[in-house]
Amino acid sequence: MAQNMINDERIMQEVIDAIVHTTGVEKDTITPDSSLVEDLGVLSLDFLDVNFRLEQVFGVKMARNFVLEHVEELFGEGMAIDENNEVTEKGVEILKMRLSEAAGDLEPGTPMDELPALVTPKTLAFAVKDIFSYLPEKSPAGADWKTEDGTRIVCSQTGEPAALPSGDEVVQNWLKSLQEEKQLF
Amino acid sequence: MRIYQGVDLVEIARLREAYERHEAFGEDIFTEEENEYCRSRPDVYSHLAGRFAAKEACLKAFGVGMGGFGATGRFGEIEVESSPSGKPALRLHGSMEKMGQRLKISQATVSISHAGEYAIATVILVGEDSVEDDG
Repeated sequence: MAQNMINDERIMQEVIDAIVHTTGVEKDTITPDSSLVEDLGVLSLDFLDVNFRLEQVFGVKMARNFVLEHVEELFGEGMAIDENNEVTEKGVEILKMRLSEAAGDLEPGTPMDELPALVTPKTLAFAVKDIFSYLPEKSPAGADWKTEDGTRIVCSQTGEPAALPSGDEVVQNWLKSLQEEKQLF
Repeated sequence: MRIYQGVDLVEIARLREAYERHEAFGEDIFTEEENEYCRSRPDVYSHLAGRFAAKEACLKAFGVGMGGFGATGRFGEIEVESSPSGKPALRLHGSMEKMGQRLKISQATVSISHAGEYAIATVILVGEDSVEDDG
């Protein structure tokens, strides 16, 4: 499958390398489920740096807006975030589906500023993998794909980078499909 | 009336490192006007770090904390404008503007300073008291 050109282990390795290079945290102390904020002491500027490093390594554009902000934009204000900037019941439902076990203990009424603690190497790797899931079987030239440096997908014939949707488009597509399937909003 | 406050301290060299390493950092985190203003100053990175601290302080005041993962766009939606005298002011766009409306923010003030290796900023937001008070 074209989508599996970069395997999960390689994506996780690059995520962990990005965290190590950005923060100086010892590699051995990082697990796929480490909270970047609570366990690794990652600061806001580090978050951004990790994000942009992953974009450079994989040739993708990570989401600029948080999933709950997309919910608000697509389905109306107050759907995911209430007037006190706390996550609503629907918002919790969405985060549990999107972040799986990382959001397992989340409750409605959680302040928005507690959400960055849910970010783990696993959730970052998932965000990258989700973008790659949109890779078509063939390039626009009708050729197979190949990888450069094992992380960037290009056309085997022309060398053109794969045109993948941005992280924001991927999240919006996911929310629209979810809405069609479950009518949450 | 309800007061929201945020403060942030930024290491100027750390900001410079990220800004120089990733072209998208400068483009996405700062508006065109912010980049233009800071680049016109002799100490470019002190000013960029001060503005970054102001954006982060604003996010803290709003109670959304770190603007990193999946929320990079928030930084570009908080603009620090400069008057001819150099006094900064906040202008909110997009989702941050909506957040301001949600919390019924009527006034916002920002103060920025930098010395040596660090830049610091504080933001105070004044909201109407009709939002539920959690004590």
